[in-house]
Amino acid sequence: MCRFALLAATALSAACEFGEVTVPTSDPMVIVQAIMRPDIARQWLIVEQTLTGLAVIDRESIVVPGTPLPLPVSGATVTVTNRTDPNDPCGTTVFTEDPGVPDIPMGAGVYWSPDGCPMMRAGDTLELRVVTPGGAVVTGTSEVPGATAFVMRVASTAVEVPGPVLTLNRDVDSLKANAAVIAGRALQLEVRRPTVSGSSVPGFWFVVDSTAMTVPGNLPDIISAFLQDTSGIPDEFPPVFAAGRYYDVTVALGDARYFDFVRSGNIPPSGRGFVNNLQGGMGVFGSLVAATNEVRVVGNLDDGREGLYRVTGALFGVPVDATLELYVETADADSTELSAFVSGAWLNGSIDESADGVFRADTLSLVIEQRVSAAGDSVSAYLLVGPTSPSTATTLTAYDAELRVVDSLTVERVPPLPQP
Amino acid sequence: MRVRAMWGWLVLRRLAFSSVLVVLLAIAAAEAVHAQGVRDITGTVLSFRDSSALPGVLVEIPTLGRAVVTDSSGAFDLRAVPRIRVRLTLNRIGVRPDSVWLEPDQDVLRVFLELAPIALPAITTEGQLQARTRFERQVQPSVVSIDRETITRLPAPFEADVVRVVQMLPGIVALNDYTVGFNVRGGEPDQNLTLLDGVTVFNPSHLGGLFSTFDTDAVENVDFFAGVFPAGYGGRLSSVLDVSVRPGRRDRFGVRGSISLLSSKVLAEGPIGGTGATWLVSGRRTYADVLAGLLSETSLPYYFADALGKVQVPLGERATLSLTGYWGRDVLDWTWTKARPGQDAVRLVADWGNHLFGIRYDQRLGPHRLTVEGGVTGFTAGAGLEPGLFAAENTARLVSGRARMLLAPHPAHEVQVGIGVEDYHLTYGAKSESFGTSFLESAFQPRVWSAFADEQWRVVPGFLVRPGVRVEAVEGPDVVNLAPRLSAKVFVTPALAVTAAVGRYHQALHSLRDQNLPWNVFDLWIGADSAIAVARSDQAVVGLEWWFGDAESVSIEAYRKTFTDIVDANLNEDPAVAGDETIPVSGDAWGFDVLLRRHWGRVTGWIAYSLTKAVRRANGTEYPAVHDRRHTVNVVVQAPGPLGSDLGVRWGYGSPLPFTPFVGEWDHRYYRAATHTFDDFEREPIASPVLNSERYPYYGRLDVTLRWEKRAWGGVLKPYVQIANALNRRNVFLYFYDFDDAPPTRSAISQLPLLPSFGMEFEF
Repeated sequence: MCRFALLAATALSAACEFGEVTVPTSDPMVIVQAIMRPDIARQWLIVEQTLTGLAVIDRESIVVPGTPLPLPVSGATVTVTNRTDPNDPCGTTVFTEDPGVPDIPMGAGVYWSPDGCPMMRAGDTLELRVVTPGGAVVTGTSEVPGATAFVMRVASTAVEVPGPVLTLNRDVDSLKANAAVIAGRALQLEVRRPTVSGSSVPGFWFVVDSTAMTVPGNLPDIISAFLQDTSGIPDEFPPVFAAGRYYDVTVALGDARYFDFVRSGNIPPSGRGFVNNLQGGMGVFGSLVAATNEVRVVGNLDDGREGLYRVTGALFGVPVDATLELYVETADADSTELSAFVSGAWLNGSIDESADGVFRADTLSLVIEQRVSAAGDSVSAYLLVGPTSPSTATTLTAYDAELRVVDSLTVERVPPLPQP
Repeated sequence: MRVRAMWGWLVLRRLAFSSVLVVLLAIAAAEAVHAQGVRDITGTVLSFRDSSALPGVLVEIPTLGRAVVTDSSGAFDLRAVPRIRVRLTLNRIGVRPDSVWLEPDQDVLRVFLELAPIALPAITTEGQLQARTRFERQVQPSVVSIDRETITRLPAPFEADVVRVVQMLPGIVALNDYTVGFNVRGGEPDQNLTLLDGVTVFNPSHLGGLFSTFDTDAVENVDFFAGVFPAGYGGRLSSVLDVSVRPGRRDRFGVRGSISLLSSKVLAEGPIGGTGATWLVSGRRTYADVLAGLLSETSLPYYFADALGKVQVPLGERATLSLTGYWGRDVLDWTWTKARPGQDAVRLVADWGNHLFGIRYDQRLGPHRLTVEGGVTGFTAGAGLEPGLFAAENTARLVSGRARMLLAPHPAHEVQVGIGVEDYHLTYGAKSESFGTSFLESAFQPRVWSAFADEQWRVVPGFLVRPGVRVEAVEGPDVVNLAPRLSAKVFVTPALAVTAAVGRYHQALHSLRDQNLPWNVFDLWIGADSAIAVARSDQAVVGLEWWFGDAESVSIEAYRKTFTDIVDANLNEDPAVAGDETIPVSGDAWGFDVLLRRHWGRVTGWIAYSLTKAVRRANGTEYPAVHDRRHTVNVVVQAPGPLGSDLGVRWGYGSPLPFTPFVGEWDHRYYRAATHTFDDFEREPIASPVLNSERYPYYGRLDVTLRWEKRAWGGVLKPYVQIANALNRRNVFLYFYDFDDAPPTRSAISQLPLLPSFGMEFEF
């Protein structure tokens, strides 16, 4: 009877999918997605159309501009006008798909403005007008946001952004951000992890209907987990902040149009819910300003293996003397992920980076990357593997990217830093 | 946050109460001159077996040619009876006839009757007699009474259910197998008033509508008004589902209950010493979560539980005090991720449920009857991610008080007057403690002061008129609404009557339901205020009822309803703007209902047919209501079945319901300020701007139940087998579209599949 109950419950919850049929193709609608940035010289926006079954769509396009749009609308007349200031030297700014400027990611349906146009001051009203070759006209307005200052605060330390590096203890601190608003509706906060090569990896982001936000240091990153999980239900939520890492934290102020664009969406059962402020099409014409600051994340030293280590020796004959400030992230039975700040002298000169690794019992595996200045953007990476001891110096073996042994280094514990 | 208050309302309130007080004083004066040579006999007829009330018993004084029928609580009044020794006979199909002598100085009695030793395999005769009695004595159209036996014997997916039975009556549309609530004669689900012993139940369902909140073992009777309900009822536009909880046994301690696939329930009852007071307690819990944990490593972190209790205390011979309580919770608690260094475990939690407490005092005052009721009822719902990541909540709380007086100034007149107050406190919001931010927050506090007068007047034999009026003063929107009601009944023959009724109805509560969502776990309640109007409906019904035998009747009713200031959720709501949560909607509905019913016999049941047209108007456009089902048929049969069983069959047909098709998809992109790029997207469907422009296929479902009754261990065991959707018809729940394909495709998700279940009821 019990197994039958489970079967019945399963049947109840798993009503079947059936009866696939083709449906008539509807007339497509024009989609415009445009975020104006007064803090960036050259603006761009995208014009595309809704998916109505006109073509088989590849779902792989992700970063725009840079990758092709699924169904771009080319040849549209796109203009943005500052309605607040009739003396705007830009006049009506015309956006084009080919602005004649090298080194920008052009593509069908991606329209670029001239440098410095349209003119945008806090509180100005911008008006968008898009006329497609098919005759569709899409219009919308946006009020340019602005702030006299963006401020980030950790404990008693506050900095105006961009400013000095903030140190956040993930176990006890929260990161607070606020904007001294001239115009604007909603605060967006983004956390990205910079890479040694100079790019950054996206992580947590969030928007509040306010001009202030608090992010606890121990917050799990649910949003990114959902976005990155293809099954729809992620198994775990990574931390927003992991100790032993640097983060770029961007705080942005968006207008009401941008807030509507972010907070709403058409839900699958009803196909409704998106707050559309465009006329003649759908999407967004909003604006936003942003500033970024670096945050150094540390944690309490709760695990016996956490703390300071000194690595000395030579790599390819080059003396190295670096300090590892090491924190563990997870505590699985077999292995413990960790991150560490690496500072001091390394193969290519001075280093101040974050490195990731793993503890298997007391055996450390750590990958240290360093930008090779002499070789442009290239990065050197070495894997250090070996036992650690709380009381004696031990030997780490250094491997190159092809996992060939290149050298041996000495590692030893050093007294922990005084806790704040 | 919006909280409304209005001091000036005291004036309006007092006006409403003053009118009722004037009526009460006039009647009291008339009472003072009542003749001393006659008496009023009041009494109660109960089952000898379990002390439950016996409605529909004919209480007659043959020598005087006087007769009355007991009401749903088994009570009766015989007015202006001479002070002489008289013999009362008591008779009803299903009980053993009996008689008692009443001395000249005895005005109150209580009679216990034995149930007749004949087997009545289907709908019990009390329903039949109640229906016939109502036909002969009451003007009220559009009302159906359902007793416990009927509810118990009809098929339902897992266990007997009051709401599932109601959904088989004419005029009712249930959008799908999973829906919470139902639509009555073109109305919305939030326009149905559900009462448990007179106390409002906000969301009477568990598990997203698969179970109702009512334990059928504790139900005495269900009266369902599909419209034009009398002035004593208010607060909703479309229907009243009035569920009475029976008192506990008066003779001895008793236990009954059932075990089914998903849940078990038990009910205990008995007398309280020799006081005449009784108690009843029932409880229910699902255990799929426990079973899943025992049989596999998979967790099923959901259950629901509820409990119901009633204490009834006689206060002297003429008064009764009863207390009713209910508590129910649906609980979802899932540990999503484990704790890790520097980070707590993340739990997905949700719980929602109703709770209520009601007190009722009944006092017989000669031929009159005073009822005073008070109640506190609430619905709370919360969902979120713990610890402190996200939390959403909706709270609906109602404190109410009512007093009504049933007056009989003359044998041809039955007058009811009453006053009441309903104090609502409704909130909903969403916030994150972790981010220190509130996403939205709203509060509504409408308070409704009401007074009503309702009279049924037998003008001449064969012609009844029932005028009534209800006045409601609503604090918040600050309006006074007058709701006149009038019905009349003409008997063409003693077995054929024509009825007509008109009325106006108001509703100060709304649910924030998106009509295009096929499934709601529960309603989110908000109230009228200065920005959200009190909804109004004008209704007219014309019908006839014909009894063509002792057991068979047919009723046909045509109706027309208007809806003004009902609301739909405003999908463009700005959380920073108060009062834009809804958009005003108006609408119309018309149709007719046919109910052909065999009330008792070897084969019983009914055939219900409804024709409905329901439209809505909003934002300058008119569109079919989402429940605009043109034809609905329900055939319900109870008959002797194979292997000595009682067979219950329900076949339902519903013509296609409208839906809004999707016309495409778009990539709703995520903007990253740090890189000034769109880094990802959500592919979202786009619904047609023309609402409800297409229709699903028709709905069909056949349910079958077989029940047996065995005496064992000094009690009764009732095993049963049920098959929901026995033909395994794939009724469409909703459509999914794929516009990645060329041409685009659409596939369907089905409603309940063929679903067998079985269980056992017991009674000791």
